[in-house]
Amino acid sequence: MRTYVIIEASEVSSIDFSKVLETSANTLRYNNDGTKTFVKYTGEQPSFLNGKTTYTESEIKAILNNEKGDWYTEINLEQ
Amino acid sequence: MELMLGLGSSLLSPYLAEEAGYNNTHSLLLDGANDNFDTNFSAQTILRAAPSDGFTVSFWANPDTTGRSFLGSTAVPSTSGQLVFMINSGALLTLIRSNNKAGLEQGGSVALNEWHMYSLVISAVGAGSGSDFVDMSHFVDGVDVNSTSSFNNTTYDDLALISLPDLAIGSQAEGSASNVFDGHIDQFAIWNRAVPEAHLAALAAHPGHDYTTDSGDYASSAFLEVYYKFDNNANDSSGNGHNGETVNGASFDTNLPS
Repeated sequence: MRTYVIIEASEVSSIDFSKVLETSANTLRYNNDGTKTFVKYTGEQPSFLNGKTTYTESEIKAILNNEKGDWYTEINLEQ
Repeated sequence: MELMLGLGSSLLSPYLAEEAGYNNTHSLLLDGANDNFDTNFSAQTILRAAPSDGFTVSFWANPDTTGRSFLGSTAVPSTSGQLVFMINSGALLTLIRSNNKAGLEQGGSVALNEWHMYSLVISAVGAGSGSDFVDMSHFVDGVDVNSTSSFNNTTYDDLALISLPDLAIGSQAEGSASNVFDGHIDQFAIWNRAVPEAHLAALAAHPGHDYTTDSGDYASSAFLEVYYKFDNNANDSSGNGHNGETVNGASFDTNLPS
């Protein structure tokens, strides 16, 4: 089971990518103003995420897919 | 025997001569948060190689949501150039954009939590005179599901000149994790030809068929540019060496088209 944690963009440099499922800093998904991102892990929580709020997969997708939230991206489909 | 095969091809279509020896074992699973798949394949390969032949993109998908997500796409982070094939509010949508010109096709329902084969066929690509037109068609399970739309070929020609990143599966673009696909994808293929409807119908009727093997009504194996079986690896089975990479924890599991 995957666990998701939202972190500040300023904390990206502290991510240990060997402890999370994300590939690298270049593949992270950011919110629309670029101030937040998230990582996910399975099993024991990596120590650098201690004290952070955790989300289940359904919880994080509800946040990401909220059309009124700051993670939802409109796509320009005008011809 | 020849008569029987002939009857099978013409009357019992879609038809494959045999269930070729392929055991489909896994599909690609994307979590709908930021998982995706980098193909290491540039769309310029098909856009520039032989425009008059068109191209085809096809895959099986079993989505957990049908909001707005990209199934296979190429895009730059602006409106200067895009080649996208996506789900938009439960329907297939293709957008080809270059500079300020664009062609858009929308039609064909995408079923939630069901496996179906979705295909985009680009055909009748002219020589680029400006008076030629490109046709786009969507197929679901090998059936043309909407009337073909056309757009001026200059859009296509311009797009071929724009530097596009590698094709991404399940996200808006290579290196992007927005508008991600949520669910399973299998048997992702690109051909450098407009694959005939009968060929697609044969593949749709036999989801475990090996696309590198011609059989019965399917005879397009020679035109494969990219073919990901997703059988617990990211290998390109087309023979063209476009082995991909799972990104952000994209994984494989045994939920398969049937």
